[in-house]
Amino acid sequence: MSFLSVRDLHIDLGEFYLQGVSFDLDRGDYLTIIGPTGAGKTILLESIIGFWSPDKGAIYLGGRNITSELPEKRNIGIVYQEYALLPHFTVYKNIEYGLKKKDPRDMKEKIVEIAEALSIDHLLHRKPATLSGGEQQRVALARALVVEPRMLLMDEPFAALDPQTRRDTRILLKKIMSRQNTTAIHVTHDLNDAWALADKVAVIRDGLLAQFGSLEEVFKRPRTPFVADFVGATLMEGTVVDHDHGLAVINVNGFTMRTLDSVDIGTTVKLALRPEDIIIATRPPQDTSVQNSIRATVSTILYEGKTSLLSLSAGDTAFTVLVTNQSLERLGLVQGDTVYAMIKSSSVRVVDSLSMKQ
Amino acid sequence: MAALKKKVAPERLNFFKAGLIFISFIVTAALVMAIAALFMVPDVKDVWESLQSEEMIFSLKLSLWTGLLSTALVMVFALPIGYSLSRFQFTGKGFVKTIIDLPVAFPELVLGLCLLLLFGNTFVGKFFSALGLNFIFTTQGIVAAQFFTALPYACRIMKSTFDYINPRMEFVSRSLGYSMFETFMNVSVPLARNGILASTVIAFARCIGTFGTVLILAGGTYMKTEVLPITLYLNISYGNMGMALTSGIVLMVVSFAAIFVFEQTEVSL
Amino acid sequence: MKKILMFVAVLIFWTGQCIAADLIVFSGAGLMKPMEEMRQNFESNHNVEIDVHYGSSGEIFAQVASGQPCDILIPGAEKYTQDALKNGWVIEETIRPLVRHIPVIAVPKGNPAGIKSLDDLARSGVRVAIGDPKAPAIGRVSKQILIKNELWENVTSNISVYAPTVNQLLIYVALGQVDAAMIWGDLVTWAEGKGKLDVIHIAENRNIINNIPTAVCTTAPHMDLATQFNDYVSSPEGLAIWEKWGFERWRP
Repeated sequence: MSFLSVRDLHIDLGEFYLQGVSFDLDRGDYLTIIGPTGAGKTILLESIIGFWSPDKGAIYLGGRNITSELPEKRNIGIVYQEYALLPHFTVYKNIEYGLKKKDPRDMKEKIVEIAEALSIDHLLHRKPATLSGGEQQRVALARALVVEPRMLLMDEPFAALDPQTRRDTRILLKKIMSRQNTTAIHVTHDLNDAWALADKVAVIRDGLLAQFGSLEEVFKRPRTPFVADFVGATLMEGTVVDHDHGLAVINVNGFTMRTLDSVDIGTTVKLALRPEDIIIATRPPQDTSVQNSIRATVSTILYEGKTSLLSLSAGDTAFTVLVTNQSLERLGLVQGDTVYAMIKSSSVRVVDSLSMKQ
Repeated sequence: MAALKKKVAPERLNFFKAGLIFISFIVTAALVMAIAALFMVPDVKDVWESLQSEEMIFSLKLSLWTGLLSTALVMVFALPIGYSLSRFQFTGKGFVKTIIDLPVAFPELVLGLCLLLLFGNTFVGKFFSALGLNFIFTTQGIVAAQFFTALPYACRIMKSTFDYINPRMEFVSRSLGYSMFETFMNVSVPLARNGILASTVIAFARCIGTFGTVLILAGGTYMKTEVLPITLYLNISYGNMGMALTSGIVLMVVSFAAIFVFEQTEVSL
Repeated sequence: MKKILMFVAVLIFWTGQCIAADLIVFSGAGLMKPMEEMRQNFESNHNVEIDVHYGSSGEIFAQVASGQPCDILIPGAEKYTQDALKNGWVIEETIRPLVRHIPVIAVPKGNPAGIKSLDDLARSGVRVAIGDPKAPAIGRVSKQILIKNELWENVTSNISVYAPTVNQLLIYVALGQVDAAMIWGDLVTWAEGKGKLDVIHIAENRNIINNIPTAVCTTAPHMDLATQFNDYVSSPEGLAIWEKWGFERWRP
């Protein structure tokens, strides 16, 4: 049995609810949960930690049914967007708070160690109110991690941080998570979090698990137009081979893409394309301003409402395109047709991925 | 950097605004004059002599210790009640809330009558009698009357205090291994410090000022169950204005002190 | 704006009408029931409006003392009228004793403590309530009666409450919180009729009985009508109304 197993979880808190949510995680997995506001992401986290008891379903952790176990017995850590530090305690006392209860031996050493790892060792004597958002969030992480929880849950931990701090904290988190091999669930709005940190991705909508799978799987093969639209992009990997009039030329497994984003030649990058930014033509386009034109085959067509989602494949690379049903009809597209996908270079974005820097 | 001056549009005379402000000032002025009259009318010597009278010293002492005891009891109950109303969903919550709030809305005399009926010849009264607690015509009755009169105010303040404390602080504490009770003591109560202070002060002022409930339940007997508002009332009946005004002044000072401390805590009622 | 002015004008006119009653009577609060009936009768017979202010005897006495306009004074005890006369506030010839104000002993329904006379109030273990001797008139009279019968010393230890208001006495008896209370007979007639409590009468030679007098004020703004109303409340027709509400006709 997997490390964490959520089975057919139902919970109804009125405003927020979950219906029949099931998924499994292995030890050391890093899951990001994405979905619109009010979809039920936070109550999923808070059900796993035990603040709400489900109406139906079960949660297993390490092979044991913990559905009715008290939160204080579960040994699962949580980090919130608003940090939730205790304002009447210093940073040191905040980190010490959990240790004092769970494992009061060598507290000082452990606190200093985690504080150094998160670069907050110079702040230990301060009160939370005097810290910046990034610093407070690192304190919250330290407080959750110092007790070595079986799992770490994070609810939009970076949402209140500015972009630079967000990137730095993300790198720090990645390092510390791989060192401790902690299983983590991370709720986020920011797809960069998923790309940078996640092994697995879950998309939640209206209390239902719309899709669950590996990062690649969810981003490359969204199962519904909603997921495609929400995850918002097709991911592809390539190597920067040239610079041409200010555009970076990237070789993606057999075809090239040009982007306005600046990247160094020789680096491996991840590219993101939004499905609605791609234009389909049935003949090779001529006399257009579009920089990228890729010959591809229609592998599947998914209908939903007024729009359809086309899965295209070009060599080994798959990507999705959103078109209106009207256009689809006009072009008379069916599975197996050859089409030309046109993408403006400004729509090809190098995503904020760690692979950039390495 | 050049100092930026905020430009304010020249304000035209606005009759609506001026009218409303005028009304606010009229009522405030009336209150200020009424309060001032309480301090201006009696002569200082009269007040000083009244303060030293046996009756006033008795009344002051009785008010003080019953008020303190009632306030302590009120807080012992207001903390858990305020916390449950703020944090938990349970069947009958609306009912509990309405009933606890009721005394805020209905006259003290009615509350006194209700308590008199309850502690009279019912099993509740007999139960407390068996415990040695007799509330009718006694100083214990003063405490009971003050307790029920002040409790709703304290519960309301505690509820709104806990409403303002992010429950996620408590969630985090529990995720770190602390039970609900430990979390309540370690996190909720320290964070509610200002609210606790505010509601203690308001509860005390309310206890000291309770008249109708005390009158009916404890009888309001001269030099026996005579607290400050009773002293005021009795001395109006006796035609002894010096004593009446003096107890009024003492009550007023207590209220002022309470509101002053309350304002410092920045807690909403 | 015009509408507002109209409204204000109407309001002023209306309040003016209210103030301009044809007759102003100050009456003890305990006399409300017969007074209201007589007011209605007199109003319809003479086509006038009477304004009756009810208050405790001390309160209405103080109002007259402070010079408020008043045509007729009917307090709960003759002491107040006598004091008013000494101060020259009422006309001596218009003073008429109307009915008797008789203190009685009220006991809870069924008389659980078996009270039969004043002496039983001194029996040990009996819980007694009386009015505060300094506050309501009944308090002062109760103390005088007990002193007159040489019972005050012994009853004192039985008194569980000195009530500042008469109404408290009624509540405590009706709820059985005391075994007996000394109170005006007319106040308990209604409660007795409803079966809320029982009344023990005090032997007349041991009791102190007041009369309730009416009198016209020397400064009465409506002297003619005042004299007529004064006659009416003391007429056989008026006295019948008093009796109807549980008062006994005055006899010395």
